[in-house]
Amino acid sequence: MLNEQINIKAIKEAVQHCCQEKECVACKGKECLIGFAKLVSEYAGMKKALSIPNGLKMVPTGDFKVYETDDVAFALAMINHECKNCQDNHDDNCVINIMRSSLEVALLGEHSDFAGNPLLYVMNLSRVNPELGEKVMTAYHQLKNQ
Amino acid sequence: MGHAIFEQRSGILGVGVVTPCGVITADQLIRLGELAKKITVHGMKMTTRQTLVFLINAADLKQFTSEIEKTGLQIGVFGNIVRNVKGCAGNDKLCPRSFGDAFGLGVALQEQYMNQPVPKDFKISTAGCARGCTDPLCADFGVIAVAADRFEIYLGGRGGSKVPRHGEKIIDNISSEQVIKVLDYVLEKYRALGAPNERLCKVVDRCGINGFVPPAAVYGGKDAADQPSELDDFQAFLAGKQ
Repeated sequence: MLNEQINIKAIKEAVQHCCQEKECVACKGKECLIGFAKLVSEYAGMKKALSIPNGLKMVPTGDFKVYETDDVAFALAMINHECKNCQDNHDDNCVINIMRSSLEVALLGEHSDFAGNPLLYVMNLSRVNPELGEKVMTAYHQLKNQ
Repeated sequence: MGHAIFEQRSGILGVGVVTPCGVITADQLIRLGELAKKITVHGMKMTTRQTLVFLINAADLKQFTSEIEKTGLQIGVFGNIVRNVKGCAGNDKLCPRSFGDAFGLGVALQEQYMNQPVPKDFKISTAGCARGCTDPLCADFGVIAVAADRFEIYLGGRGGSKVPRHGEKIIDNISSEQVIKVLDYVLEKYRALGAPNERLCKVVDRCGINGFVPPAAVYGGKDAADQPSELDDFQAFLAGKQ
């Protein structure tokens, strides 16, 4: 039921928009941060899975492509918009968190721990990278106010 | 075993009324209110176990009991029996955070098992998610929904006493039908192994938890070694995308 309340389709579309398929010689799929996030969204939608054991550790570490910041920031905002604010019950291997981490690494080059609160997460992004944080925060509030 | 009827310090009676996991209809609520007006009710209390306690005069007990039965509710039970089920309001119409129908399962378990004899009181709790508003880890038999018609089982919890404890997860990813088969097995073992007045957690301490974990064949599951995990499934999915 909770899975049905996560708008996986919206996440999938936002992540798809970050894809640089046309610029890539060949799609690396799961080896690419965006490709991996796309596959997680596809899997979550198809299997109605909320969690993938050990999934966070599967986020690729060898993708150094530069992505379009605005697109990835919007997708990251969308993911946080769909996050269920699980607080103490947060699961690192939740499909939302795995996708969040993929995009975070694509934008910042590194993963940070998530404490279960998407709003705090977006606010903390502004401390790490004020320009990026502003973009994500703006998109996040727009999505929340829709 | 007996009814949940307790004499209070002042001499009046506290009479427990069991609801289906804390949910009653508007009609039942009105009838309870009318009943409370008809006899002398000194107060009503909502309990932590989702029952209602009416404080009444002993002389009104017979009439009260008779009227309660007409509402479709029932007088509570007490003693060395399976107690009423504490179930969360998690299903596809109520709590938006629930992963599965913990409410429907809780009501079904209560209808089937409440008042069955056991060595010591046996409490069941169902929850729609790991937040566990109904404290499933503090129940003798705790059930947590993890997906639509998928549940995990915790055994041997205890909420009260000076030594409260959390139950231990014994099975995960089973259907509501399988939950019932597991509960049958656990109760059977509890009756066989438990001494009179020995709470399940104490029996688990003495005999070990393995004796309470049914073989997969009992509930129609697969042994852990044979069961493909979600990780295996995801890896197979990724491999298929290459």
